[in-house]
Amino acid sequence: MRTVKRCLWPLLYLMMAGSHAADGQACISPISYLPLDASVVGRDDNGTAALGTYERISPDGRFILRSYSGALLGKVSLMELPASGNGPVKAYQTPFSNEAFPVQGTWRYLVDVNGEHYRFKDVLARQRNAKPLFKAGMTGFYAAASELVQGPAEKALAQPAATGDSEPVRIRSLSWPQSADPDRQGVGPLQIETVRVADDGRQAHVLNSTGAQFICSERVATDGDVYALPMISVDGREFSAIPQVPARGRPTMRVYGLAPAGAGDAPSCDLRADLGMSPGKAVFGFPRDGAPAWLTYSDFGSVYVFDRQTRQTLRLANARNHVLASAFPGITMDGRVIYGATWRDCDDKATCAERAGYVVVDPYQSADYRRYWAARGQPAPKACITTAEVEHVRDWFARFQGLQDAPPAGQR
Amino acid sequence: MGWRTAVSTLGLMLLAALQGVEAKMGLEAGGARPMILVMLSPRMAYSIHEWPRMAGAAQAAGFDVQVFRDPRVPKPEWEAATRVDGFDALAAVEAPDAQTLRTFKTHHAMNHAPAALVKCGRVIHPAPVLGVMPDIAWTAVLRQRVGELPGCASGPIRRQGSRP
Repeated sequence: MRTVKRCLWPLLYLMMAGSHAADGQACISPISYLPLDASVVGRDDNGTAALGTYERISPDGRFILRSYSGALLGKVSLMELPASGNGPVKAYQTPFSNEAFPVQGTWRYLVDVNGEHYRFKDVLARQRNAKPLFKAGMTGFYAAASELVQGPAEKALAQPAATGDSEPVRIRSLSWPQSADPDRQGVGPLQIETVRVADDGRQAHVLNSTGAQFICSERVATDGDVYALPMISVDGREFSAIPQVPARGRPTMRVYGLAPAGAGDAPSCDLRADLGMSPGKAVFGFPRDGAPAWLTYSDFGSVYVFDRQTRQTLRLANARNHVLASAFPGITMDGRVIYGATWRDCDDKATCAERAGYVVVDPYQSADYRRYWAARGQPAPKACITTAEVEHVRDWFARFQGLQDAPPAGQR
Repeated sequence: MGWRTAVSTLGLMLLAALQGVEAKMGLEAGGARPMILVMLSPRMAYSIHEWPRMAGAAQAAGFDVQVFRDPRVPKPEWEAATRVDGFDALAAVEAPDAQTLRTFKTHHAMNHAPAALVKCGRVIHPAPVLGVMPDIAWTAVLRQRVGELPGCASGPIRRQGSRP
């Protein structure tokens, strides 16, 4: 009986996908390859489009902030993926230095490496001429930031960003210690800083800051105090990193909570997950339905998703030759995984064109995800990501940012 | 300055010089000289930018350094990345030979982050040192790896200190 159930589930998935399509809830493509146009982004000596690096994916998957963008675009550029299908990838220049990063969760601000915060919409509209609003937060190696919102991110994005928010914006950033004392430089656990910002939609200024706070000191005895590849979660309440010198066992990618500590104290770090291996940087998705956020990472050139609730690792298979994923995949609010990569388009074995661009994957349509649930003889909680879900998140983000093509609230 | 002072000063200078040499070679005393094999990729921010500093710190700490580029990344992409901000000297860095490449794969050290394998003689520490980091943390982790390798020089292992 169990075997029969295992065999039937893949068939049922196909039927479910078909029924979704019939009622206007069509599944997105399981995997899409969006090549960059070399005439837009510049090309390397081989004629291949410049891929850049340090790709950070917007909550709706529409924009990608990337560094080392090549001669035609300057250091950091914003790339815009097509709404659907295989349209061209647009490019916008920015005033940033390499390794600029977004304030995750909302992308209300983009941050230059010196801590200057810019409004996302301004960068999109004014490109290199955009001006910073304020300077705050952590800088240094692996600096990253997230907006601390009350409740789910959907709630935050439901409000336009630039209409004179009454509540201060809270931003938490994370990086390596930045002590002025050279003997202390880089020694010790990571640091975070949380700032409160007043933003009336036109101007913004810092109300107060916790200052840089060392975290995880209580973990020194177990995990040591040197962490590799740290990344803060999109809700700012967790981070991932590899402790380089744990007291026992191998260095593995782990997830730590930033649990509230006593008044005036920095959050303490409770261990929440251990992937048991050391892949590339583990980037957080959005927590959904009360479940912990998924993680995505690249390992040996392929991209994976780690479902912390089921402790399942899903490999996202490729549909092109010689795919080499970049080091910073991201997960959108609707669950798509997007990453930069190079690959080869081979019409036939003799003529393979080298491509650089972005890959968009639906992890719910991956063979690993379906195999996992089929093996359990249970229906998967989700058959696929639908086009309606993608449009919904895209509309949310456009309205929140006040983008010109945002549909009126409540319409699509 | 009397002659006794001059002699003692000279003696101290000689001693300091000898200690300096010993410190530089320190990790070599009593075992094989440690080496790091490093894989770099242009697809991790900071890698190329910070590598010259980290290489210098490792060498100053007594490590021989061999650096390779990730052979999976198209060579023109590597060359374009090294031209940014004037790191042209790294453009000539070669891909590893087949055996060394296997070593990196075996040790799970090919994920774009700078990955350093600490080696003494023929023994390689199972845990690569990953990522870009400031000098003190970097050399402290390298020394920690050396301290766990049998037959490797037993220089002073400086564990990371307490909370700054």
